[in-house]
Amino acid sequence: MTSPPNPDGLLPLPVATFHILVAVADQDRHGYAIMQDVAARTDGALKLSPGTLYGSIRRMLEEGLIVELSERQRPDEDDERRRYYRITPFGRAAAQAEAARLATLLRQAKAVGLAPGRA
Amino acid sequence: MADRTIGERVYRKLLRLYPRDFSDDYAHEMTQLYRDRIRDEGPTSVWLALVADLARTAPREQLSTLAQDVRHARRTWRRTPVLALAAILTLALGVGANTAVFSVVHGVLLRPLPYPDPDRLVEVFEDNSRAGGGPFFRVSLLNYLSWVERAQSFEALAAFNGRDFTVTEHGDPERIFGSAVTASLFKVLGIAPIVGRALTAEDENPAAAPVAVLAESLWSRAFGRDPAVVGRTITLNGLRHQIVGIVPTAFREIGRTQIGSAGAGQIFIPLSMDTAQNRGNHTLRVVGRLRQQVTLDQARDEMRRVAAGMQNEFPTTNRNWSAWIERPQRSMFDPRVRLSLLVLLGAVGVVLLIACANVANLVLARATSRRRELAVRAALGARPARLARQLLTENVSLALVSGVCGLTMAGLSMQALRTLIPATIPRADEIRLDGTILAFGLFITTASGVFFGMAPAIRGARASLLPALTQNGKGAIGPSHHLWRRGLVVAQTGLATMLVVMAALLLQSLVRLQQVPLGFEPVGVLTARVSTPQVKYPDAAAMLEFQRTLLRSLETLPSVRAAGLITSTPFAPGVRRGVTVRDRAAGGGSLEPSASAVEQVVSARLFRALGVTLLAGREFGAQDQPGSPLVAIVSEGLARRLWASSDGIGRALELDGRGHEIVGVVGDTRGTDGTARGGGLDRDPQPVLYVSSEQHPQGTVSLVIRADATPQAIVPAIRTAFREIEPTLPIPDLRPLDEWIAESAAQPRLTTTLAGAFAGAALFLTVVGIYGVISYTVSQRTQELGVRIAIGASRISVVGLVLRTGMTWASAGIALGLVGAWSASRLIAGLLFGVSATDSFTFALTALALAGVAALACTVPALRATRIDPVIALRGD
Repeated sequence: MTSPPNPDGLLPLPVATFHILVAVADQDRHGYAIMQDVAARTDGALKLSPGTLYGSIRRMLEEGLIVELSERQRPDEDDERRRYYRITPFGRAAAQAEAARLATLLRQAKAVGLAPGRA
Repeated sequence: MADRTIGERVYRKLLRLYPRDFSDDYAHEMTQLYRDRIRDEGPTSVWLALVADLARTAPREQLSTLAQDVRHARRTWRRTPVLALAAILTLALGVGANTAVFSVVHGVLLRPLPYPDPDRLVEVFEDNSRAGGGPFFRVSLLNYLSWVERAQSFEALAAFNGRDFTVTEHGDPERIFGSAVTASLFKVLGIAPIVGRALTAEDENPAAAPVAVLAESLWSRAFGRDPAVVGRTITLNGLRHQIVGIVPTAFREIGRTQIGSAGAGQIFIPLSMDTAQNRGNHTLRVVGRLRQQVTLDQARDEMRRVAAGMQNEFPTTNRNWSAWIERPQRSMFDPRVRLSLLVLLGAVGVVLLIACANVANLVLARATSRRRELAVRAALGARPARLARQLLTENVSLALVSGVCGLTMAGLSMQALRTLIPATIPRADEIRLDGTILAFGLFITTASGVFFGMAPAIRGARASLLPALTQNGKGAIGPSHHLWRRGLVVAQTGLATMLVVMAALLLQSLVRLQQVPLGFEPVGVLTARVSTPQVKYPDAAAMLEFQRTLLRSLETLPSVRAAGLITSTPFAPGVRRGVTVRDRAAGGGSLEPSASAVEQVVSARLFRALGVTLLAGREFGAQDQPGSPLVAIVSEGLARRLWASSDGIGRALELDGRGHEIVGVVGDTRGTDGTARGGGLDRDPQPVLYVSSEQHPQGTVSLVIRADATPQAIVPAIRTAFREIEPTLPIPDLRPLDEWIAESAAQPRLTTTLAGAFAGAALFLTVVGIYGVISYTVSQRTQELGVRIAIGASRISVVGLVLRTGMTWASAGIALGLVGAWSASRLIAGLLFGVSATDSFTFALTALALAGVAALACTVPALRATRIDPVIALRGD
């Protein structure tokens, strides 16, 4: 029995990967929806281009962070087939590990006065 | 299906820039994305962003796929390490050898000379073809000056002459080579001194204070690059010269003097404009820089006209002398050196081809054994193009690994290579591994990889699924597969045949070269250059007395049988003066009134020391003194050329305007060509005119000593004798004459050795190749052979069957190879001596050898075939 893969091996996650994981963490989304969600959350600072988006999606599929859903999730909303993506437990663990890493960094920055707020 | 707008169609086409896998998976979604964004954002901003995105991410995805393929390649090769190692070694040797040979060819032949605008540089000769001499004669000072006055085609002309310098600065006197050059050489070469000043025309005045310019290498070695050296004086041949400048290594004699010269000169003095010379005294080499718009042919025409005018103006000296111009890149090479290098490059390229054929067979076999794996992957959805790409990547990455190994090997052997190159090949010091060589190495590596990787990649990708999945991989192979292997074996054998023929011809040629009659006896002879110090012995009488004392003292040494002096010992470095001699009694029983010959000033016992046969008359002796009537001895060839008979005793020849009586005729000797080392062993003996050293005193001469014992044993005694007679003279560099003769054959010997090595490698690779293919064929035909044995075929007939298959292919290859060798033979005809390029004996012997070797390669698999157990074979396992 092989041991479960360790998400720490993937850290630090590439920026695009982390944002995509955040986008599909609470609900399954298709490509364009992920793009819009990321853009909205970052106030337009990070606009994922199609090449970056699907390149990342492809790698995340290989690494097991997300899975593809073959059927339409929202038959009433869409008029055509779209591929939806869902986060996996491993992907969730990886996103949590990355968030923890970022939180540690933020705490350290606050301690020396580089970030607003108290440590 | 929604309507596709033009924009969408264009976008879909652009998506093909991504790897097929990627675009197959995501093109649909990306097009959907495109539609959504156009709807929400408008075309302009979307298209701008998309173009940027494509430019950025498409190459990234392609690289990522490539990286994946390379990782996969590494994994698959690790599964068959022996095969991988065999392929890598074979290719590495091929690439390494090719790179090494190419680095020599590039450094010596191809790289442009290190001067500004090097294509404008030319060398100018006096051309004596009209009178039977060659077109590469040295130039007399007066003719050179006339050319400078009259010729319009040149920006500048310069002349130079090699000099031996005895330098006495610290401790023992040292001998350094250099030249006397005209100041214009700086302009012709386009080189400025790195310290101090260049030579000027004023320095050339015979009355000017003596100055000298040193080469950078000497400046580093002897003076530690101290700039204060400029202004100091240095004693050269007993005379103090002021050092006025330091020049870089590129400042040197270029052109024909580089044939046979061991290295560049290190001291340069101005060429003294001593116009009281004879116009017929050809001593100088001349180089020039053509004017911008002047072509080589135009310059040649002009010089011919100028020379023709001078023939009329100076009939006594210039009759039948024209002028010839050649590029130094051509004139500095014996044409055979260029040919040898190119032939070797071709040969080593053929070895690489054979190596690639071997590796191709290996890889083909591997692809066949992987048919199952490939079929499964195809069934799982891998497209043929993708599989082919992966297979090609496997093979090319193997090739690249071999290439790196090969280039490393070549790089490590650079040093050894430079020592192997005979000193007689010019520019050998310019051989190095630089960007061009590495690019060449990379190119042949990739080309090899594609060459042997292409076919298996295509074949592997088209592997038909069903048979591969149901059977165990053996069984009927497609006929085209067999054709490839057969073709490779035929090609290998043919190429190997060609190389073996060539190597055999070169070997015979070398053997004949080394057996050629020399006309003298080199065994037991030592020779060295000796310069009489000018300052201590300023006039002819003093010089002669010094030389007489030297010879007398040397002959008293035990085991020295004879000692003599000669202008230049055959095959050893020296100066060889071309002269024109004229029969004084012209019109009275002579064939040609004049002939050109090489002049040799010799002492009385020189012929005995050198071992030259006296054919008629007498040698020089006590009666030939400085004041006595001038005498001369002719070589047999000269006598025949002048008088159509080998007897000339009593006749009179005019040399430099003075009459000489012929008192003897000696045998012809080789090694007295008008070049720095006397020409090669293959050159016919030149006509020689010998005059007495008593009557034509010469300062710098070659010493010839014949000894009983092994020459090396008496060198210390000779040295002591020298030191006793003249302590200010540097001890001459005594070498056995045999060594100089061996060195003159060094280049053909190297070519033959390398050609032999390449032929041997080709033969070995071909044997391995044939063995591999026949083994494989036997293993594929196990069932059939098992059946034959089961129904009663004898072992012999099985062996015969296998042999027949192999030998048919090999014979086809040998036949093609012989035809190829026949047609290509004229390419190496220029390198051969004493053997024809289409020598039937050699061809026949090669064919037999190749057939024998091929039969041997087939024997082991054939014997293995006889041990097939029919029961196991018939089980079809």
